[in-house]
Amino acid sequence: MDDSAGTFNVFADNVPILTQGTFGGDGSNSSFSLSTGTTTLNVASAEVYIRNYTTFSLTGDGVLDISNAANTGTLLILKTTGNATHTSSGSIDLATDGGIGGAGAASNGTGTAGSDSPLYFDSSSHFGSGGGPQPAGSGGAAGAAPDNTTLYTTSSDIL
Amino acid sequence: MPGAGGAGGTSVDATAGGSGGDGGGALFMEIDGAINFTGPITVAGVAGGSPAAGAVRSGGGGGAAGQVLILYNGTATATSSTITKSGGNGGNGTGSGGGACGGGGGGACINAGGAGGTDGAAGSAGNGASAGSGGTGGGNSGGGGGGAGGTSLIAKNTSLA
Repeated sequence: MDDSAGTFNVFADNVPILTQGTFGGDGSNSSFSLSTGTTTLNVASAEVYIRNYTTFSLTGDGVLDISNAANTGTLLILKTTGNATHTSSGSIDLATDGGIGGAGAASNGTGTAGSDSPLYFDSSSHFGSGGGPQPAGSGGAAGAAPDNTTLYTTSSDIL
Repeated sequence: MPGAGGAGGTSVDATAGGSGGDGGGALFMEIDGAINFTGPITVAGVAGGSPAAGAVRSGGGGGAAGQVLILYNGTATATSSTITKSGGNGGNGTGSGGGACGGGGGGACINAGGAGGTDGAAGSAGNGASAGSGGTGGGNSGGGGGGAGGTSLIAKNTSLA
């Protein structure tokens, strides 16, 4: 993280992979305000989807969701030039918006691996592996969770 | 970042093994002002599918959870949002017979051989997160591995510089 020059960079192995301008964005998408119901952002299969708000307010029972996540999963980036409030009983809901699960196989075949994202910052295997053929049949395995061991170049904070 | 999907299981017959669960998405916020966050956020993974009973079929792996990173520059009224970042559970295997192994949380077959199917392994936990549980093995088929838990952080931006 380097905010000294008013820019915001995300690094992987000291190589900037995301440069999104000034911290907090430019406010070009106006304000976001929702107090009831659900607002669904159509991310149109984007792996990274960015909204630049002036302020963000999710209150009451409002829910913020996304649709049409990328098959490899979507990273939703919300920026505000001003204040942000989320006191809603509803959620910011990205529960099903990661990589898609692989299909099961039949007739002693191997299940399809789950989909991975190109946005990981470490070298772990994040996509699941297919189940093995019978009779040594195994269930499909899930990938490892990401960590941020290389996300920050100068941070002492580790997720 | 986004959680990975779980993998599909397999089967001895024409009916497919369980499908893998979808991973959870990821949320990144830059707030160049004050923050007041008490509402819930979820980036959980989805459970793997459990095949229909009947033949030797293994469960799908659970999807891994995604990440949440929220940075702010102003004052913090509250940062107590509940962030759900649990991995999906593995699906259950089914069938009968011997000599199988369960799906591992990290992708490996963890216990070859034995009289019956072995339960899948739990995924690895993120910070403060619950990993998914491994599915239960059937007689000859493994349960899917549990999805790994995600990670999250809400912090004042200057503390990271």
